[in-house]
Amino acid sequence: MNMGKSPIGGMLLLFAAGCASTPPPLSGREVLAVLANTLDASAEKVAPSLVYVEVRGGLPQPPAIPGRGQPSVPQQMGVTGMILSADGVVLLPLPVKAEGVERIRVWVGTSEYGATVLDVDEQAGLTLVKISSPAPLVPVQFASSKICRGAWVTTVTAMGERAEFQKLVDVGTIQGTLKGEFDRLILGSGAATSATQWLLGTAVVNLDGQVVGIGKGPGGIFAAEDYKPRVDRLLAKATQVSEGPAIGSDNKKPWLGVRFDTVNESLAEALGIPKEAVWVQAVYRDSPAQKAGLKPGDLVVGVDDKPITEKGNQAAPYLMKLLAPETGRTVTLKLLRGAAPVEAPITFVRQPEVRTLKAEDLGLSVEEIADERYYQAGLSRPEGVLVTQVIPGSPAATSGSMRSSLLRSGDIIVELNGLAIRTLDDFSGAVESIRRQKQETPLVKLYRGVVATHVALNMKLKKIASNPEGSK
Amino acid sequence: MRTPAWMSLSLATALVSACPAQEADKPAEEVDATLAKMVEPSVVAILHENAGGSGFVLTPDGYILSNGHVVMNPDDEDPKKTAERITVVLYNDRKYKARVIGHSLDPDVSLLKIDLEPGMELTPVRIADSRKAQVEQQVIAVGMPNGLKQTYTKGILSNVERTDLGTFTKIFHMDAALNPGNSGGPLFNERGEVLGLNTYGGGGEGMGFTIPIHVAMVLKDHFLEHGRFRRADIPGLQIQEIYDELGAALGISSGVLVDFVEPGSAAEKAGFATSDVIVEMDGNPVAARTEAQLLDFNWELTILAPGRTVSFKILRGMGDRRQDLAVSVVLEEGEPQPKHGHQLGEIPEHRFDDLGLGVRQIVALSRWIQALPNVPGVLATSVTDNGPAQKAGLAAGDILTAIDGKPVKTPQEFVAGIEGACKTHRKAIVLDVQRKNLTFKTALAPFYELAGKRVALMVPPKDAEHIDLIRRFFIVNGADVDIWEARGVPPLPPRNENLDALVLVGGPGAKTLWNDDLVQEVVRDTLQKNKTIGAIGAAAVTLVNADKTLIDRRVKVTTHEDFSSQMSEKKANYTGKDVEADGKVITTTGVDKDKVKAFLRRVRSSITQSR
Repeated sequence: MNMGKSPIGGMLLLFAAGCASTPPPLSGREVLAVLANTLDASAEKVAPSLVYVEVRGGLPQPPAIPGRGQPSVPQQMGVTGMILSADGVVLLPLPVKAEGVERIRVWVGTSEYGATVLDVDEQAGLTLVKISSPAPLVPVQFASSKICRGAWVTTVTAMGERAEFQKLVDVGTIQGTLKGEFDRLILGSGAATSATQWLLGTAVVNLDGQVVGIGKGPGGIFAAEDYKPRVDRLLAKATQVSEGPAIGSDNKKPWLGVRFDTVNESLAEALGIPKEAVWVQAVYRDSPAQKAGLKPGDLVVGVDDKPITEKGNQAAPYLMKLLAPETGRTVTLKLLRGAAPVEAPITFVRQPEVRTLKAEDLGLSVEEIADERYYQAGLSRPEGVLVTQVIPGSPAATSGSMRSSLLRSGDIIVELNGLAIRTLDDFSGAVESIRRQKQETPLVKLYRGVVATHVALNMKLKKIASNPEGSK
Repeated sequence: MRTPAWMSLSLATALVSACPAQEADKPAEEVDATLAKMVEPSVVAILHENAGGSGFVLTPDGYILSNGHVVMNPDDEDPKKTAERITVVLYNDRKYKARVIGHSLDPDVSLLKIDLEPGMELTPVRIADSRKAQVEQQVIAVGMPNGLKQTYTKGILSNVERTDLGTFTKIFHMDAALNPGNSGGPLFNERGEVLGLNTYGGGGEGMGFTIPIHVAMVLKDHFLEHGRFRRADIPGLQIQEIYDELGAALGISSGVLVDFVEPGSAAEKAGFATSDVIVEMDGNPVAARTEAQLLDFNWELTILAPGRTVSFKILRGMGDRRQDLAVSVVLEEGEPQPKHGHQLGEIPEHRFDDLGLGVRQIVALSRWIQALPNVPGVLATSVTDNGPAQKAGLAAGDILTAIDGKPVKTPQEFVAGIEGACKTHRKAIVLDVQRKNLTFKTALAPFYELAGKRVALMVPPKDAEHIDLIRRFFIVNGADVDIWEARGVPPLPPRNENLDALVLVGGPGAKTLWNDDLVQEVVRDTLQKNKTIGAIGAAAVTLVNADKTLIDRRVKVTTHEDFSSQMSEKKANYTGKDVEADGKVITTTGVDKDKVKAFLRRVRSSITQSR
């Protein structure tokens, strides 16, 4: 901020010099007016670089809400996008699934454009899209320096048609920073609400109109400092590949297949191990971590030549920073196994997709049990298939005696129609056998938590093909 | 399934002979008025410090039946605790102190006894055969809700086999209005015989739930004989009804399906396996097609005597490979703590307030319900905000399997482990944790607020109260604790040297120390040295007896109301407050754990604030 030109700065200097001197101090009303003008000017500066974006289809799964289960994937979503280049590259604050996208529309002011996906970074949760604007666009500016606590900022949100494509502005101060793989800014409550609860992608802007943070909904406000390198890298890649989208290359979430856990500081003292470290808690099957020979109980103390320098709850986010996940990137993990130092080179791969299957006639959707899910959800067994959905009114929901639902999501099926189920293929085969044999009451053996139970489906209760003549 | 051989004898004999024909001829108002006149003397109100409810007279000499929840005043650390001051109010407003003979929360039944004046007799109810209850049958609920004298509400039985309420037995559903305070009251049939024990209103119109009287009477017999409900169980066995589709899938026409046999359990050792079908028990056929029939079968098994051997015929395997097998099993008394009559939902929590951690014993059923892995340990059931346990990353639902590398299997071992570590002021107590399918280590870092302080507990020779709680409090706070059994008080000096606080432990036995020279000398010495001194309940009397200056200085003290007369005799400045702190003299009524804990916190702050 240029203090010399700023009326606020001048005013503060006046106060510092003592209020008694001439000219007489500004009135409260004047102070607020000057403040509002300053903040409005900063918002005005960024406004041309912000666009309203409507994404239909291909949206990511929203994070699970503890105790309330998995919310459904929305069909359509409006977000605030940021223009990155004069020729029309726009940053979206969420990772779309390019293959599922039906349509992306971008409004620059009130002009509407179609957009194509350039690339996706699932780790950082961002997407680059391209629009073709006849006139050059104004790229957004990111602030490069860390912003101090107490600094005034504006939040600027590009709204859609219902708000007549206005840029809505709120005001707050930076209260602090939460450390993480991407540091997050803590804003005063009003501005925080505007930045995280309206639309994804709200820009948090300093007094010079530069972006210092990006609203990521419930994820908080990512600090531009940490976010920008990811954006730059993606932008560089996208502009190199000038022809056609990069879909299907390496834009999936980079993955090591390992579960890290915090080292409790008191524990570190008691065991005489470093506090600046992260446990390997679980190593997933068929993962780079397994290939690299990682073992539960290993202690990660550094990556390549950089040691972890944070401790406690800060250590794991710091490790993620050092890892800088990117598919294809190889790093060397510095480990302690017992007292022995171990080096483990490891390469990020695309996270494998979890396979699912929907059996409409049974009334079930299931997925294979990936280790990630097994540990995350605390499932009682690593083999079988996990029920993710029971279709209301189907045999799986209604057969049997007077019970709420025969099968429930979270059940693990281990046997179907007399066939043992360990994998999704086993399940698929068993479903085929039911169809082939026209089995009327297939037996399902499953685990609900740690307890086995048996259900028999009444296949006569499956959906009746619509009959125009009506039933008799 | 019905298997008459297993029916409780007391039920089979509880049969009916009532005035049938002439009442049916009368107008409805008269029938009801007659019923009211008949049953009025048998219905009572139950009042106590926490709440209360209704009940009814079973015998002329003063046995009263009610709900378990009506007489209880539980807390997490003592989930079987009953109310301490229970009053039974008869229809004619006469009041009697009552004691609890036995109680259970599921089925929700209690038996009380009042002692009558010689020659006096109560009017008992007549008992109906509730197994013959019919849907649509007229019923009348009587009780003392909302502080009213008896109220009568009328309805019909809407369903006689509700199985969806999470109870061990079938429940009647009826539409006579129930209000708070109706709990424990009787549900009469038209003839004025008791069909059941009203338990709760379901929060909607026409949603009243009633425990069939034949179930309640089984518990009554258990309470009289054992003081508790002895639930017979085959540990590790989960069964299910065989509904039509399941029967077709299994190729079985009737039986009970063994849904799950827990590895390593008594059921497995007896020879049961998952997917077996039980077809006979002690030579009688077994069949459950509905959940109601399954609950009946389970109830009949539950009320058999633990220790008895039961033989089953089971089918194993499918189709051609199906074989008949015989399995016999000795019934055990149900978990978790048969000796103390604790059932599931009544497992006491062992709480370390200053570590922000409470743990409980793990029983099979709670493991099944909470989907916990089958590993030995104790279950963390409460983790308070910002306490050492939370800082260690623990959460409710974690299984703690070892302390400082030493495996722990029971809460007792866990408590001993923690106390042992705290005694040596261990800076970090290493815990092995199982969280669902993950294992990890963490460390508790206690905040030893009383490190370097020495506290002596003066324990009465018998009937000391809350001694474990008190000892654990000081140990976890890092104090060096001397326990002086009153007769073993070491001579002066050195016994009071470097003492920072003396706590006189309460309980009925503390009365024996009221005029004990040695104890009084220690008390006076502590007061003279201006150290913190605390006394609980009866022990507060020792305090004022020992040092007259307490009375002269008008130092405020409190004690249990039972000993207030001793205080007034001495002209002590007795306030009757739960906890009284006047300078370094701290006293409490000590009536329950919460008061004692508040007292201990005052003692602690008195010690730490001393300079």
